[in-house]
Amino acid sequence: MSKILKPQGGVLLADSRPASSPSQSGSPAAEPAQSARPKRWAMLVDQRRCIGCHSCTIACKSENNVPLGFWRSWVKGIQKGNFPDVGNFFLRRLCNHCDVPPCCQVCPVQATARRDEDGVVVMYYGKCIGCGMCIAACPYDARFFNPIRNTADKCDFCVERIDKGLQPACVEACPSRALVFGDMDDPKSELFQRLASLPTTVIKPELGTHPKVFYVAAEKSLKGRISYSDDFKEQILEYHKHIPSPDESYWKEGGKE
Amino acid sequence: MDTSVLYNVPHEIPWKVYIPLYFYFTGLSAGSFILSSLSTVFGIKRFKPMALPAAIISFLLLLLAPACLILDLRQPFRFWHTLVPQYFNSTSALSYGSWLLTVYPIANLVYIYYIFVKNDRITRILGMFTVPLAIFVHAYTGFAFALVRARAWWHSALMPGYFLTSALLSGIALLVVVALIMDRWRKEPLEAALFRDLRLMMVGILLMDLFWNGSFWLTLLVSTADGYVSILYAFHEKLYVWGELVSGMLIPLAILVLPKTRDDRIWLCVASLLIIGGVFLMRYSVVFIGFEIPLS
Amino acid sequence: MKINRRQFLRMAGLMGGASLFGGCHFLDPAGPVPRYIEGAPSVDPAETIPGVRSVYTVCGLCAGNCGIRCRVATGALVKIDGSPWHPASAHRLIPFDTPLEQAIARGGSVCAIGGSGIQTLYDPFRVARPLKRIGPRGSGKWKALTWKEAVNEILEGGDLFGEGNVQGLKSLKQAGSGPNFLVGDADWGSLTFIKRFVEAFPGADIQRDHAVLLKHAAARAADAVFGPGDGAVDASYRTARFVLNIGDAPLDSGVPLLSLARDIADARLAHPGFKWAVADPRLSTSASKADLWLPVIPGRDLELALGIMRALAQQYPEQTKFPDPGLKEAVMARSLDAYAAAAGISPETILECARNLAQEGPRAAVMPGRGILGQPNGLEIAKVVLAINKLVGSEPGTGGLVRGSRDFLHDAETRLLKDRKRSWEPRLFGDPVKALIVWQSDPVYDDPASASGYFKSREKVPLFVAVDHGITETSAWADYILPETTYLERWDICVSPPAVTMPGIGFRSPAVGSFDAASGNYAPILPETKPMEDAIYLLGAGLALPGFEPDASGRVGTAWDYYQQAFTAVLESMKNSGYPVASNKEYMQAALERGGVFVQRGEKAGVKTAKSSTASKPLSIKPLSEQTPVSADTLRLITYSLPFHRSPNSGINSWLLEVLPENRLMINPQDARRLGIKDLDRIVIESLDQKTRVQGKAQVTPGIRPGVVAIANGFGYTQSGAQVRTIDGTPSTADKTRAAGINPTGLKKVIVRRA
Ligand SMILES: Nc1nc2c(c(=O)[nH]1)N[C@H]1C(S)=C(S)[C@@H](COP(=O)(O)OP(=O)(O)OC[C@H]3O[C@@H](n4cnc5c(=O)[nH]c(N)nc54)[C@H](O)[C@@H]3O)O[C@H]1N2
Ligand SMILES: Nc1nc2c(c(=O)[nH]1)N[C@H]1C(S)=C(S)[C@@H](COP(=O)(O)OP(=O)(O)OC[C@H]3O[C@@H](n4cnc5c(=O)[nH]c(N)nc54)[C@H](O)[C@@H]3O)O[C@H]1N2
Ligand code: SF4
Ligand code: SF4
Ligand code: SF4
Ligand code: SF4
Ligand code: SF4
Ligand SMILES: [Mo]
Repeated sequence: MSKILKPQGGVLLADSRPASSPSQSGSPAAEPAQSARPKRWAMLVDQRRCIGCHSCTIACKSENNVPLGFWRSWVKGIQKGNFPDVGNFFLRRLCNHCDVPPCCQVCPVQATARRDEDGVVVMYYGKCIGCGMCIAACPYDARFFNPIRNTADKCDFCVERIDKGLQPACVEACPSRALVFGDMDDPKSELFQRLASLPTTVIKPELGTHPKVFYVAAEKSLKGRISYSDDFKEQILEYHKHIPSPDESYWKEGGKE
Repeated sequence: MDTSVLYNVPHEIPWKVYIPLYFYFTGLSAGSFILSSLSTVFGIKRFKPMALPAAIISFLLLLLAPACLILDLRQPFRFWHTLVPQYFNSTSALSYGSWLLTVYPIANLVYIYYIFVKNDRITRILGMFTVPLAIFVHAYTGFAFALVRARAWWHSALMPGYFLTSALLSGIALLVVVALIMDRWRKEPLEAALFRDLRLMMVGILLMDLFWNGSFWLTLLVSTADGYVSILYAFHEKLYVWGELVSGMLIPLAILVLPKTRDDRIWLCVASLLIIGGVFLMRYSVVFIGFEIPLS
Repeated sequence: MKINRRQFLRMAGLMGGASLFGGCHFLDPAGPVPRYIEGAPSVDPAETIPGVRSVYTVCGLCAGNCGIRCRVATGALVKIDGSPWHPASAHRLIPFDTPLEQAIARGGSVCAIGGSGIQTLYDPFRVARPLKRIGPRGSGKWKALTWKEAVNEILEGGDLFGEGNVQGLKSLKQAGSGPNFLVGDADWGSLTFIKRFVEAFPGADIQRDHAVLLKHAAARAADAVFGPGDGAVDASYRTARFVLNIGDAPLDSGVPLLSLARDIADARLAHPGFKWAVADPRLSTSASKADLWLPVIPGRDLELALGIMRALAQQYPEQTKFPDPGLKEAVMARSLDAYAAAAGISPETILECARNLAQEGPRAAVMPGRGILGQPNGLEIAKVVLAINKLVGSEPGTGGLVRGSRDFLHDAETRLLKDRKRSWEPRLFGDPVKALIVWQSDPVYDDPASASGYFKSREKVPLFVAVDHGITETSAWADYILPETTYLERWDICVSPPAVTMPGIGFRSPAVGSFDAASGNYAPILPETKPMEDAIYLLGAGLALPGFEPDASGRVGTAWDYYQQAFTAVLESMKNSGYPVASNKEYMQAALERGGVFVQRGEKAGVKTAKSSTASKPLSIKPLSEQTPVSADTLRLITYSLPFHRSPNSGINSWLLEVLPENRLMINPQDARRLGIKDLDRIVIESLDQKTRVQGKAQVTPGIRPGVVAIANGFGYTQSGAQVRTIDGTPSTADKTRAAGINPTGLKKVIVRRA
């Protein structure tokens, strides 16, 4: 467990690259040890390609049976500008599979942990006592209580699929091919090559969580809170009103207001 | 620049009111216990009459606190998982907390037994071990928040200290109320000096708590965007401004220092009750203001 | 009893996936709103797990006809993925001869709507038994019948509703008359089946709805400009170097979204020099991803098109070839500035479009969409827009545009139909008929006021039968509802839209239910539902129509009887057209198992040089109508589509509603300020003639031209589960989440104020 506290890479890069430098990790000489080498699954979200179509959202809901009102994967979208200088911006969100995951740090029973063999932050549902500490501690709002399972829940990079050599459901579904999933330590992977050739960012790099979901061309105002105006107060007081999607109770009550 | 949200999703707050209640009861318990120890451990004789009631209150609250915690769990029957050594998470404040919350009531009970049988020496030795436990039990709840870097409103080195002093404050206030009630039925009335000491302690801690608050505001106002938003949000939150600050701290402080009211037992009782309520609101606003600040 | 999906699956598994609904019309008529997708305590089994069946079929939730992989575990559909065999879904196709077991390692994409199809299948509000109304039309009171009773009553007629005599189909046939079949945008296989039925029933005929006519108009516009061909054209994003979409939003409502989104993303990022412009009064996602947004005034697309032509003619006279002199004359009648002012676009922007068009020539494309075709003289405007392509030498095949290449289907149709000379030119419904059978059409949603007047009228429609899986805005008016299976429980032959350039054909087959190939019997998950073809066979058999008679043993034909012939006919025709396919049983089986066949014909398809343009009819351009001035308070209302929301067949799926539970009126901050409207305010939208008035919420947002307001299609349903229905005296629950939002129909020029 002590591993979790140790920041990897050490430097907090605003424009974050994989913490271990590509040139070191995959020299051909190291090839024979390939099978033993731990993987580091990661995802690239190319917001230049993303059209906010929610194919990923529904694929994830369906694959993982996420109840109504809760999300392992979602898309934030805003329209901003002054007519006619306007843009639609999307940010496709999921768990970042932090290399230094605050959620695992706080769990009292190790029910959520970063797998050593591939860096995926997984849930052990049978252990979870449902205290909610991890939900409070995730800086990305990536976790929720699953009302059916009665435990914490979150994106797990579709472990059941990736362990069998399949792609995560959202990656497969995305029509724009905005999502690339792979081993960020494997120089032969498409992901590695994209990470090496494209400028990427992660969300809230200043927290030192070392996310493994990398964004290309993510709109600044979507990486934090959405800003409605230049007035901070208004922003925060208005925020919850402007979320177009209702919570669980709306669905429970069949839409009756 | 005009902005409109096309899509976004709600994030449910994982905790209900049990969680601030839980923090509140652990605080009250720790506070009472420390008060009890003033005579047994630190030998301040004046507090002797309070030792047993304080310890008993402390113990009863300790039964309430975990009950609240367990009520809030989505898997209450798995509570024992927190005590499975293999599941222990050395980086989780809650892991330590679970053990503390198990050991501390037991120690507390033994301690009560020895006060009850009036064995001062063993009480003293036991007290010496239990006082740190009480402090840890409460400080850990502060750490549970302070160690969450996700939320600027929580992530502060001041948090454990603030939790501890306000725990003490609520403990004293509760004891004052208990003492006032006891006083009506006791054959020999409690010394006025005892109440004076308790009052002065409350004044001192109130000043300290205000100092903590001031430090929070100043640091948050110049910290990250999230910190800034948190403190602005707090200033908009009636429960925080009118509940915690005004009714929970400023009014009782005034009552306790103004010459007209400070020696009146009724006013003392009112001030103590306000403090007891105010400390609960402090727990409440710490928890829920933290959640009101959206993270995504 | 609450039922969640996981419970459902368990029960379905226990009962062999069939009998759960036995005896109940709705999943749970009296209980709380069904929550059949509450989530589950465990994840769906992956496709690689033994026992999980992968069924490759064709999505039916939009005209895109993408290939899907249905993951079926213990008889229940647990997930819909994209198919690796289908060019719409898969980025890289796997070869046709890949064994099925190997295909599970590969996937394809699936859009939000397609992925939510599970909820269409397990919709608790599906009709599970034949229904007959027992109150006046539209009263919402029904009686459950057996198929035998229902078919008998429809055939025999009589005093069916206590409202006087109704002529049944038998007596219509004797009188030389017959029913009209109102068919929406049905797929090729089922449409051909209906044509067969109509051929066998001399007095019968087919009517179509607005959706079909609009699609047809798109094809006619293409015919008019490029000469007769195979349906509509689309931009070829894989090969084009400049595309201008006018009133067309491929990233918002592209058909199919899958291949268009992929091709456009690749073009924008991987093809250097690709330029994209979108003309739309609203900042669609397409417009926001484009290099150039032209926020044209709604309804002034003709002016925009003429302005572009004018700019081409004056700046690039050498490259610009007018197909007929009349057009040139019309174009030159006004100045560029006049066109620009009329369209509300700066002359510089128009010149930039012209520059790109002239530069890319044959590899440029200008595409009109529903924003244009939906206008009153949309067909004419669409022709002018398409003619811009001609001006710069772009035609289907030259790199800028593509057109369907399913020519083999003409041959297949002649194999399946007897009367080869009959014209199937679509005719809009609305005339009085003797009896109406509606299938896959919901015109009442598109025009509640007048269409419901038609369906309500017992004079215009004396007998009204809906073949449907739900009670929709239209079937709510029916006399009988014959419960149908969904697209996941039927066969069909599915043509891909022109955007899917790889030739081939999709074969739809049931993903769930049990099928006994030997007997041809198919048992869907709701035992009392039938594929449309089965229902029509029952009617045809009762009428003793040629080709629909029961066989010697009294067995009535089934969908499978027809589709065996149809699949064979299509493969046969493909083979004859030079595709490397076979038409024997084994090959057909393989094609069915793969959801169709997609193969290149002998020669390599690529960029062809333009054929010498076939002499097309001269375009008639009416002189520009003077725009009647409207007061500043009047706003023009346009509608648009969201990539994850659609009409009744999927717009009610809660996964989709969850993303955006209601549509709001998009209004520019300038207009909002003037009208005192703030974001999220409740507002009233009223048409100028005051005939239509709706309430909704405002979305104050900068991505819309001032003076214009916009509403997304596909919200504001009143049926499909949103309304209480009484069957045999038992009222159902209503799911109001399906009713949220505004139905924008009937609103064009509007006044908006705070509620
Ligand atoms: N997700 C989804 N996809 C769909 C559908 C759906 O309902 N949902 N429907 C399908 C069907 S049936 C069709 S016909 C196609 C249609 O697909 P498209 O042809 O792309 O039509 P729309 O998306 O309705 O409208 C395109 C754009 O036209 C704009 N517009 C409206 N009025 C005007 C105008 O006067 N001038 C101009 N220049 N633009 C205007 C709208 O803002 C919209 O962004 O989409 C199909 N695809
Ligand atoms: N305001 C506004 N109105 C519009 C438009 C617009 O842009 N704005 N666009 C117009 C256009 S272009 C179109 S195409 C129409 C689209 O409007 P619709 O024609 O309503 O669109 P569809 O979604 O194709 O739905 C047709 C019906 O077929 C049903 N259906 C689908 N599959 C099956 C099946 O297998 N069996 C049966 N029985 N039924 C099935 C669906 O449930 C639905 O009831 O809307 C038109 N109306
Ligand atoms: S599926 Fe792809 S394009 Fe669509 S919202 Fe998700 S990431 Fe963006
Ligand atoms: S994003 Fe949140 S849930 Fe995911 S690993 Fe990081 S801290 Fe944990
Ligand atoms: S909710 Fe479960 S996973 Fe999260 S911290 Fe508590 S026990 Fe750990
Ligand atoms: S990786 Fe799997 S769990 Fe995570 S967002 Fe994608 S589909 Fe959902
Ligand atoms: S684009 Fe249309 S056909 Fe393709 S998956 Fe989506 S809804 Fe189905
Ligand atoms: Mo359409």
